[in-house]
Amino acid sequence: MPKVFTIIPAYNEEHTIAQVITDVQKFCSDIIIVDDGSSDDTYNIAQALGVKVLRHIVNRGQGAALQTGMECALQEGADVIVHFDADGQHDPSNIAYLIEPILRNQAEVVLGSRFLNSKFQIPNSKQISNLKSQIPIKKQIILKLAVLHQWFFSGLKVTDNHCGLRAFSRAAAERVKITQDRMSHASEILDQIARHKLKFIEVPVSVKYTDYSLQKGQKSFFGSLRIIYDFFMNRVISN
Amino acid sequence: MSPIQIIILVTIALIIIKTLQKYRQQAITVREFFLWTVFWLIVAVLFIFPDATQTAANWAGIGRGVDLIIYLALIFLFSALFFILVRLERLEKDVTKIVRKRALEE
Repeated sequence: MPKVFTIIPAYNEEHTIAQVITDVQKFCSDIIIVDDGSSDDTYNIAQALGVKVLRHIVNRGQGAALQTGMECALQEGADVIVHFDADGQHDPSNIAYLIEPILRNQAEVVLGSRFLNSKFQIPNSKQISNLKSQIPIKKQIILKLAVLHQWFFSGLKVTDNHCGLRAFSRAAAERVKITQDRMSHASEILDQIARHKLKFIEVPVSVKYTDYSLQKGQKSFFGSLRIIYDFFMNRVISN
Repeated sequence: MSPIQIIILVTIALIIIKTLQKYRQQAITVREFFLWTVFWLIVAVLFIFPDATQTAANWAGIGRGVDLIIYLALIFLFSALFFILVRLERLEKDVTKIVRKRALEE
């Protein structure tokens, strides 16, 4: 039986964390909460529920928390690692769809998407394996610009599209290293999938927006600008 | 001497005194103290003799000496800003490493 770990980064989520944990526990027994320097009661609430809780002593951002969770899951011998949001926007029953292609060896990374193009949408999933080999350079550039454009004008949707639900095989999780501490880890993960030529699948997932999760998302203009800034800054530093 | 020259010179004098204090407190090295003092003295000289930059400006094909100084200052400031931002980003990544290590060891 493969060990599936769900990583839930949480920053000041005391209102939703208990519900999210009990919901996810129905679908996945190994849960790692990464309390990202919360100033509220998130840490204690999570710990009372008997899940593994890691704590960042100061806030480092969602990307940093995910990477910490991934490293912990790998140490614990995870075969599959799932990323899940703590604000209650994801439906935990989607976890089954996310891990299925990995368990069947159809993909190394599974990305949840709410905005899957209907043209591509074969009943459950559509394989778009290997960005680099199948999409011409010109199209890649346009896609990149489209992603930037979307961040800029509708930060929330794109954050949701990339940043919510994902699953990694152990091999993929060992290769993907999130260095973008804040929100642009979402595009960084996609970059790394392409760079390491990881086989990936997108599966449609349902997301429920609550006022709470909307309020927590990257809605503001400056939030979106920050993502773009981080994205380019990382280019400068790593190259 | 015009009022602006006096204001600038007094400001520079204060900055140099501050720099000296920082050096005494060992907040900066002797090398840094030396470089900053020389830098501010040059700025002071340029303000006392604004015509001194005119020759350089003429040579460079720029109308006024002041313009030359402004161009150079802008280039310096923006490149300094860039390097500071890059360095800040590195620092942030280092902080994350430390925080992560602690989280995993706890």
